[in-house]
Amino acid sequence: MTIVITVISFSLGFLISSILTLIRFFAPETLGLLVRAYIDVFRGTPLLVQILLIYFGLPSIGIKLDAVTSAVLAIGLNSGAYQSEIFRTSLKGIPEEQIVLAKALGFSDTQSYRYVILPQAVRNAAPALVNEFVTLLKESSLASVIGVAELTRVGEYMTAATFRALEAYFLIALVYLVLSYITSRVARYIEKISAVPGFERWSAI
Amino acid sequence: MSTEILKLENVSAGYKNNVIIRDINFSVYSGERLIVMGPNGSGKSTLLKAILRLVNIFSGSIIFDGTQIEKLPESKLRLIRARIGYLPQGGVLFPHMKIIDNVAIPLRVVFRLSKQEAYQKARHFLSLMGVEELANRYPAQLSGGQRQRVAIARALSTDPKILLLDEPTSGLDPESRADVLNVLYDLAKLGKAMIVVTHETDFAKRIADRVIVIKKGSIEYIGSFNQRIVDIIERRGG
Repeated sequence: MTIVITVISFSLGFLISSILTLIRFFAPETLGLLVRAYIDVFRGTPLLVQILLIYFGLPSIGIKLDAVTSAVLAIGLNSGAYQSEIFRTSLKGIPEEQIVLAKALGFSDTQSYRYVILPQAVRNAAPALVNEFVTLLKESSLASVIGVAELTRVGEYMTAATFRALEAYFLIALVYLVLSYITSRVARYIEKISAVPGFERWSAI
Repeated sequence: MSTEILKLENVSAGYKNNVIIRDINFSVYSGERLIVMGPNGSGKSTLLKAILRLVNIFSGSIIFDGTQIEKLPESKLRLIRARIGYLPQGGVLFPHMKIIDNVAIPLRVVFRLSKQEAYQKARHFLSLMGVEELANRYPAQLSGGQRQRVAIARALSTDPKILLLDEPTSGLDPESRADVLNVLYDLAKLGKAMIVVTHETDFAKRIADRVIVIKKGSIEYIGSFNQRIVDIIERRGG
C-alpha cells in the first residue's frame, strides 16, 4: 500500500505541477498569482493537517472520501506544489540564448517548449524529482493516522499483536530504508543510461 | 544584376523600451558580403537581432525578400526567420542533442522534412564544414572551433537567402579562431549574401564588399573597406 500511495500521489503531483508550470509561464499574471497562492498554501501548512482536513473536514461540506483516496489526494496536492517549484528552478536553469536561438530558427513557442525547454528541464529536474519521490515514500506514513493500512500502520498492528514495539518499528524502518535505497539505485541507473555527455557542465553552451 | 534581398529603412530597435540602434538605413544585395564593425556595446548584435525581429522594432521598416516584416504576425514571421541563416554569438548549440540533431532539428521542426531527409541534408552540411565525423557526439565533446563549424552548418542547412553571423570568432582560442576564419573564407566563396559582425580587420579587408561601422547605435560609416575604418576602429579600441 505504501508503494501504491507513493506512486499514485507522485503521479498526481507530477500532473498538477506540469499544469501549474504551464500556467506560470504562458498564462496571464492573475492566474500566475493563483498558482503562487496554491504553492504557498500547500508548502506552508503541514501535510498531516492537509490529510486530516481532506478526510475529516471535507465531509462537512458534503464530500466524503475513503481513507486511501483522501491520503492520495492530500499527498498528491502537496507534492504538486513542491514539484512545481522543482520545475520552476529547472526551467530557470535553461539559458535564455537557447530560447532566443529556437525563435531565430523559426520555432513556435510550443515547438521551443517541446524540443528545447522540456527535454532539458526534465533532465535538470530529475535528481530533485527522485528526492521528492523518496520523500513521499516516507511521508506516506502519515496516511496511517486516518487508518490507511500502509507500512507504518502495519507496524502498529504488529505492536498490538506482539507488544514488541522496538522490534516491530525497527523492522518497519528497515523496510522504508530498503525501499528508499532501491528507488535511489533505480533512479541512478536511469540517470546513467540516459546521460548526455557533459550536459550539466555544458548546459550553458 | 543583383537583387535586393534585405532593406532597412530608418530602423530603430532595442529591448523593452530601450532604444539600442537608431535610424538604420542600408540594403543588402544577393551575393553581397557586408561586414559590421564597431566597438563593444555599439549595437552590432542588436542590428542582427532586429533583422530577425528578435528585439522590439520601434520605428522604420524591414523588408526581407520583398516582404515587410516589422509588423508581420508571429505565425508568418516564423517562416521568414527560417529562411535567414543565423549564427548567434558563441555559436549556441542545444546541449541535450547530438550534433546531427542540432543541425537537423530546424529542418524537421520548421521545414517538416522526414528524419531521413533531414539527416541526409545535415550530414551534407556537416561534411561541407569538415565535421561530419562528429555527427554522433554531443556539443560538450567538441572544441570551440568545432562547435562553431556545427553552428555554421546549421545556419546553412536551411538554404537561407542570407546569412547573419554574429562575431563568429569571438571567445575562441587562437587555434580555433584560425580554424573558423578558414571556414569563413570558404563560406564567402559560396556566393551567398551575408552580414558578418566581427572585430577581425584582416578578414573584413579580404572579404567585405561593403563595411558598416556602428557607433552608439547609429551608422557612422558605410562603404568599401578603407584606412578610415581602421582608424575609427583603432581609435575606439574596437
